[in-house]
Amino acid sequence: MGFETISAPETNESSIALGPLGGGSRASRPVTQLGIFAGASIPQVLSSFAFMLGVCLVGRVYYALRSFDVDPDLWWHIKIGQSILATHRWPIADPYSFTAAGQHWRAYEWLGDIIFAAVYRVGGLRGLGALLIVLGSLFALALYYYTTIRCNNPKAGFLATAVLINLVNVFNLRPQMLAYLYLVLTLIVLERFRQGKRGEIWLLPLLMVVWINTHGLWIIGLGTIGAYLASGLVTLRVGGLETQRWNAPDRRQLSLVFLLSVTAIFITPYGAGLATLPFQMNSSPVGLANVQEWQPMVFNLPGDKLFVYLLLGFLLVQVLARLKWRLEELGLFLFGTMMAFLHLRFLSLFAVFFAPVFAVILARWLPRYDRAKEIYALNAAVILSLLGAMVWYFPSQSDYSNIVDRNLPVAAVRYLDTHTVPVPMYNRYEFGGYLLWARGPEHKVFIDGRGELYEPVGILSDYIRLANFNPGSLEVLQKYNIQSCLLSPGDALSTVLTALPDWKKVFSDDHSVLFVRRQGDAKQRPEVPTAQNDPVAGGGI
Amino acid sequence: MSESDLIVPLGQSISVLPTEQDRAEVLRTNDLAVAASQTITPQTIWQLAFSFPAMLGVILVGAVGTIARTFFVDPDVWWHVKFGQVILATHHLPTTDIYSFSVAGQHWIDAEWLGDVLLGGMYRLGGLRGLELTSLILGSAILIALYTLAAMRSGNSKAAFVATAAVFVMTVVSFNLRPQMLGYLFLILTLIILQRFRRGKRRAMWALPILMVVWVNVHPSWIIGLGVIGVYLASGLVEFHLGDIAAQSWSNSDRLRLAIVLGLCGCATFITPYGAALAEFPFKFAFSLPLNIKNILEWLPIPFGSPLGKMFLAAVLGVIAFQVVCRFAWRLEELALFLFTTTMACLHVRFLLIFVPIFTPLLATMLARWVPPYKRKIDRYLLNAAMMATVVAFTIWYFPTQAELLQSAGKTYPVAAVEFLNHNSVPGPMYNNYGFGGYLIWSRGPEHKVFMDGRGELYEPSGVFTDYLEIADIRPSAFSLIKKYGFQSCLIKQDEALATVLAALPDWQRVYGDETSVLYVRRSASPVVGARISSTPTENAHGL
Repeated sequence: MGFETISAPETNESSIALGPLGGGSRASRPVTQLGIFAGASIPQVLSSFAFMLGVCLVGRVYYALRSFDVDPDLWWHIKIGQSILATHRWPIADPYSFTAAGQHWRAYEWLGDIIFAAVYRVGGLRGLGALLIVLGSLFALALYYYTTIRCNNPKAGFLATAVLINLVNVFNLRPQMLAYLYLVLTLIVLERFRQGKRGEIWLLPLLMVVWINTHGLWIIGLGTIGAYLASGLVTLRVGGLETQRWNAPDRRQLSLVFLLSVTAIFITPYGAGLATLPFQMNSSPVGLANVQEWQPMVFNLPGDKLFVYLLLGFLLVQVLARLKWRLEELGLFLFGTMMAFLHLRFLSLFAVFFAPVFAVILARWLPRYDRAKEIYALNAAVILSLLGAMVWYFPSQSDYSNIVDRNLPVAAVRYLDTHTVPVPMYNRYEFGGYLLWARGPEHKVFIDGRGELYEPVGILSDYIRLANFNPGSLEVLQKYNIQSCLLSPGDALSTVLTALPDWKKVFSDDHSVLFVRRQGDAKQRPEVPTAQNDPVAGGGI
Repeated sequence: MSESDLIVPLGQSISVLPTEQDRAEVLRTNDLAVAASQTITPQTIWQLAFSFPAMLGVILVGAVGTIARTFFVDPDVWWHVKFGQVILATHHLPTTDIYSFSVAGQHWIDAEWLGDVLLGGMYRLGGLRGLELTSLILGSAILIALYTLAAMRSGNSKAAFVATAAVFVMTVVSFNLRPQMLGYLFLILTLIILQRFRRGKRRAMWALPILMVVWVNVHPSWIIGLGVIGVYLASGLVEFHLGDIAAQSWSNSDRLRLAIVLGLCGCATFITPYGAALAEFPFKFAFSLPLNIKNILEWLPIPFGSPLGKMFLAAVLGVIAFQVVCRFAWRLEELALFLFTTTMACLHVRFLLIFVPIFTPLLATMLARWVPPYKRKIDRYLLNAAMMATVVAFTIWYFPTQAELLQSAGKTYPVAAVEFLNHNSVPGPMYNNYGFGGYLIWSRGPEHKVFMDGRGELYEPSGVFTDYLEIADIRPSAFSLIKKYGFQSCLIKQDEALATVLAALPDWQRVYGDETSVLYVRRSASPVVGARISSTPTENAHGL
């Protein structure tokens, strides 16, 4: 074992987990060696209290995610994935917009896009709904497992996960959901390596190959491995901070894994192209300043306030209990905190990095898990009830359709499909992805969620200018010769176009409103161009 | 040692750690107090005045002078000055609004009337330079008080200076010449008095109820002062030492004294010309004005992406890291106040002004581990005096002229537009930007009736604030509201959304514009040369 666990409370979880099981069934049943279940039979594992807690977490995730509150970007992710699956080529130029048409662009998250597209192909909206719940559940279970092996107390692990899951704001069916799952898996592998289980560490470079092709958060994963490696280069004991040197074989092994993981980021269809994405954000000031998920913490959601209370609660506990922390844990926790304050989207990062710290704190007060007190039948009943309820109440295809109808310009797209509306069409940022999915590439959008495409060519700036009605911003409509606008009824531009004499509202419902210039009124068009199965335009590799 | 110079009344013979209790406290909290705690000899006034710690204080004043030159004043300052002028002139306190047409005649009390009188008086004395001087004096007093508080807590004036300098930006962001600056100062004075009380200097405690009488008439932040006294009292009701936190029980006499002072302070909140109404004000604002809390900049969370937000973040994370690594010894009341003020500052940027006085002494105490203490025997009084004289001379020499101040104000407020209004007839009612309302009241009220100004507690209950937001954000009902109020003209910022929209609408005409403001008039409303601006909706108001 390369590094002893620091600050985990004294428990006998290990002895419980490794101890002999009661009865004579042990010899006749397959047993697991996995963590807290070590030595238990499979049925015992599946009906254990710890497993039941895991199913409760799944139930919590299921309850939250059955409303299918997905990110507007999902739709273009699916579209790109569909295109790649259909053509076996990766896009290198944009075929979906008229503002950045032909511009160099890579599908940085192509592997995630393919997964979404494949699931959609198999299960439609219901398949996507199931995928959302499955990914959310996997994340929750992985975090639960991670916190449990860190503190040797499944109750503390469960409670920490149950609380912190409320901070996770990436359950939106974008590839970053996968990335956060990979991050927790990385932490699990590293924690197990610290506890002497070395074989799995070689999975990290493979995970990195998948990660780099899925989402730009790979850099955090690489940094996490680096933090673990670096914190074991010296022995340190200062106040409540402790590190212990890796022994030579472990250090060599971890260094090699780190180097292989670095090498892995070049294994993409775009070569080294995907490795540049995380660094591009530094040169995207407009996106950083205006896209909501990149905004600093604004404390307008209950989870945001919980974040502050947890942070200050940590300080309070530290003052009262003088806990000891590993250098890498403290470093990652402070880094995650800083990032969450600076950018809303990284609140999930805080949740992941704070989870082991929180679990260790909770484990000081929560009673230890005692297998002797297990009531397997009761656990099994709860598990079956929860699973049964989840299956029974799983939304139907029409439920999902209704949800999508309520949140996206579905009716407006139907109108567009059945009427000739003059173009170019200006569209709301949040509608771009759906338009692209529903009508692209024939329908060229003004903008969508691909900020890295639109910012360098000035489109994002123009969009922000018009959305904020900065001086002269209405000229943007002239600049792009906009003939129609698909907006939300609450948009300021919608209010203004209503008042301007040369614009006419031709369609509206609760979610969208369509304006056309008076000289280009909409006409009935029986033949509806569908754009669901287009080949990739604009070239590819 | 003479670390206590800053807290010693001039010419008084003192002991740095006058009581055993004090000495124990310093040792317990790991202060680098000038440990030997020996009685020092009487000091001459000039030694005190030109000591190294005093020179550091003057440098802080110089820094405030540099900042104050920009004449950064809050939009509300103007109506505060106006009300102060009116109160001084009429000897009557307002009870209804006479400055707006949107809520004319509504019940309204001037919850900060004493601060307004100070501002009105200073303006009467020196015009804009009088206001600038007020800003400089108040800002300097706050910095010096903060420095003193930090030096008392840490027992190290150099560390206190470094800490005060480190929080300088977080401090001066609240220097906006509103009465809340006085509240800021009163809060630090309260903390100083409580700190001295903890060290056995009891007499100053009786100043707190008097301070509270002034405070409640100056700014609603008195409730924080009352809370701080309560926290100090409560944290001394028990004695314990747990981890890195210690609570020391008050002696019976101290507890009684503090309880009486708290009671008197509570009673003091009713000593106002408005009776108990001012005591209600903080609660009313906090719980019944959600739109103000949600939309007014100072009530929004700290912008963590800005340098200010990053400094605050560094402070909070720094404290956490320091706690893990160095195990700082907290007093119970300090920890409670730190946690409370950090939460409040996260949620509302304006509460940085309560975070800073709590954080600065802690930071000074943390820094005192590494910053060597002041040694009087190597002090060079003449050099200090020369440095102080230079700073003071620069501050005086570069004190802005009236014209410079007017120019500075013109960059933020519609100074030139008001000149235009004074010389041209512009039809009313006039819609105005929220930030311009105070200046319009000051420069043209009460004849010119505003639509909106910074008195949120007046405009929110009547729905005017909601309407303002609808129009300003060009929400769907914006144009129907413009019609409802019959606006014939709009004085707005040149870069705000409504200006862009009015420029595109055929029924509106831009009649004045500069880099700060722009004035639009409805084409159908013909201005009459020489007529004063009207404040009532026109009968034929229609269209946009």
